[in-house]
Amino acid sequence: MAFQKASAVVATKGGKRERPDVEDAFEDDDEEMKELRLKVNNLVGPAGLISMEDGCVGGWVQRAAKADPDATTVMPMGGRNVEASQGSRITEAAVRGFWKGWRECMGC
Amino acid sequence: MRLDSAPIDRDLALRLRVEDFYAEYAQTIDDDRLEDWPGLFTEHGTYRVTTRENLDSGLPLALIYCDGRSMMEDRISALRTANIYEPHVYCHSTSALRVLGTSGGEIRTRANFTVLRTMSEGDTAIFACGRYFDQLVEEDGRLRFRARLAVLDSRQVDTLLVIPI
Repeated sequence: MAFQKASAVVATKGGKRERPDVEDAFEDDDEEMKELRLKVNNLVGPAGLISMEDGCVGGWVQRAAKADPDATTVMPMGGRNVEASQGSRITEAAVRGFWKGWRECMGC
Repeated sequence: MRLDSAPIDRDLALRLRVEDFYAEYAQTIDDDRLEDWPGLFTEHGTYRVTTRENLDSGLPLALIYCDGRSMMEDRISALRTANIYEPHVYCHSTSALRVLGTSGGEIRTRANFTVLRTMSEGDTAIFACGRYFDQLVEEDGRLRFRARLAVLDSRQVDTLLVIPI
């Protein structure tokens, strides 16, 4: 069951480009389940209770990165160090650790 | 022929009340008295923000969907204590108000809105525009929204939508 239009244009069969409907529910969902799914959507999107920060952080990074539009901007996120950067488990350390291991494996 | 002015007076009085209520709604948000915002709705009132595209396509998804005052209070609580965003304020302009009809104690209205957003660095931009479709009722001697639907013309919200429209 469609709840919304996709935000991006995609190529469909026959090469036609369009923004398709996004299926967010099953055809056999009853009204109660449909209502629940509509409420759960409060969590996502630009007004999403858990997702709105993504837009905010993306905006900061974009503003910082456009300092020189002709050059390449690299955001090292703590550099090559894999120690936790804050007193919390919510850090980028695991991601940096993964890429550090990947570089060693790939010899770069 | 003498026109009977009584119905016109009645319509005018209602229109002025609705206009004043719309202004109260806008200023509650624009003055950052957001804790008072849920009180502008009935206890089981609904508040939705959707897009013109979804409305025209009959697609039900809303950017914000609050079913009852409690969900609105949760939104404000999250905005104050949990969500991370750059400080900003709104300036609402509400225009083209029309009282569409009244029945069973419910007043159906619509209006246009424009929301200008000013960031903490001082830059102002057009953030949103669209239409309100509302159902109002009188409760405790004052108007409240039984349902407010804000339909955005745009389907691209700049950065985030944390303060209600």
